[in-house]
Amino acid sequence: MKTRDSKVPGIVSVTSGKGGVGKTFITCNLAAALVRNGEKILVVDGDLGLANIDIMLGVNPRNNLKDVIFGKMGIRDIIVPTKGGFDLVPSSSGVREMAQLLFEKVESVKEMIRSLRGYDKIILDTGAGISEVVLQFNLLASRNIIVINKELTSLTDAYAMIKTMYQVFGRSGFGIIVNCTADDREGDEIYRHISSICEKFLNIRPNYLGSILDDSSVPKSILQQQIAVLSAPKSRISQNFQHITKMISSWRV
Amino acid sequence: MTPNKKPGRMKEQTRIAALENGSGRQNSLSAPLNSRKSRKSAISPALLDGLSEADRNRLGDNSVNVPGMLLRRIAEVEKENRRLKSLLLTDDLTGLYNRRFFLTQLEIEISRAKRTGQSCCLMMIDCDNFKLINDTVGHDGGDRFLKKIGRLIRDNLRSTDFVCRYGGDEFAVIMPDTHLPEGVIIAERLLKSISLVRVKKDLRVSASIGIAAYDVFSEKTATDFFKESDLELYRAKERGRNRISHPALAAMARRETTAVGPEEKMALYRIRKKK
Repeated sequence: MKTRDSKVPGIVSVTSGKGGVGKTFITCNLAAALVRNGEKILVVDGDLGLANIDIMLGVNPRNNLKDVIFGKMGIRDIIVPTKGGFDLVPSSSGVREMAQLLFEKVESVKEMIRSLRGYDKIILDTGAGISEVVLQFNLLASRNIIVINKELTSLTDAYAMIKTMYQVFGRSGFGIIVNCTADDREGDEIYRHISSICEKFLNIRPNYLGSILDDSSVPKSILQQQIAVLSAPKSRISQNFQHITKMISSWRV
Repeated sequence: MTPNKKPGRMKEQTRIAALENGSGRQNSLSAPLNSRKSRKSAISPALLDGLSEADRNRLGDNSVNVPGMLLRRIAEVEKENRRLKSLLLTDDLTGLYNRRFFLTQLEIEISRAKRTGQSCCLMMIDCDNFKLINDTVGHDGGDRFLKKIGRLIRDNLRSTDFVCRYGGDEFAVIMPDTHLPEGVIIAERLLKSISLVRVKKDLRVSASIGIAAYDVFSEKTATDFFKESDLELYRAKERGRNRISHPALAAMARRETTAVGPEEKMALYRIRKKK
């Protein structure tokens, strides 16, 4: 039996192509839900240019990835605990050099993340777009969770992301979460749309993880820097996250 | 052979001599060894077997470091062990991995694909006209042909791929960390190389290839995956041989850049509009 300290964690990324679809919200809640299920989780803020997980969680870390990449700190030195029960590797916001990291620097960050031990899973929250940093973080993960919503632009961007990851890097381990749905049926429909197109044009079928209901309490909880699955554990969206957690736990990463 | 005075010893030496004669070597354990009984008796006869004549002669020489020779002998035995083990895993005729190895490795590669999220490909290759070749050039010629094809397959694949002889004229290749488009490109290259082989003047060779990629989300077993690739091989034969079949034939006909094309955009928009 391996002890937890030496365990090699499974790495999962949360990505979307389009911005503003709820990647960071989903990352935080997913991480908190996994922690509630007894897993030890580390979240890495992979949006190196405009990091904001720390803001979402109301933490104000002194150091971040910038001090690791351009300073002398180790990645372990900057890890902070959060109220979600998971640990966080914070990143920087508004640092131009971080937004345009050179390839070698990205590789060294990847290597540092890969060398981390003592967690069941590492969740990488990537930035928007399909910049090299985003693609490299997705490549580091063994599964890519693609967040979409009902907007056509989100669908197209998500498809472009899947197509790029598949054709350029040969990745096919995608999971889909549909955010902001009116009901479960709408989530299923949107998933089927994108899945059928992936099957037709790429011959791959992404895994459906589930949908998150459009809940008016969400913007408020974000404003109060709360994590929905913890502040309202009985709510519908907490149930949504529980379901997704179950799907993810079944992955043998 | 000089008779030995100790009966037990003699028995051993006779056995060794018999072994040696059997393997056609001319070595003898006689005179030099018998002249130095004390040292010789410290060495197990089994270890002596296989030493060169020069080494045996040196055993009689006090300046020789006996433990050093023993170490070398142990290394030789180890080497032989490895050879025997490799016999378990490889095919006699072609030197490729055998079916037993193939089945074990396929399980390993599937677990790896599940863990890393990087799919692997399985390629099944079958010669189209092996029977005709056998009938034309005889069984020995057929064997030489299989060897040649085996070598050709190995040369066309990468050092990380596992090339196995599945049986008869059927070969299986496990391609770790490979997605379908990549696997298909390699299969196409291989098909072309095979088509250039000539067994005799005017006796052309071709093969059919079935290839599939492992879906990392599926719960497919190694057997399922094998059947899937084998079915593709069957389809390649059905469609007229000398070709490749894979599950994405239709999708890959539109091989292009990663840009989302107009067709795809239409599909994305049309479906959503129906709502």
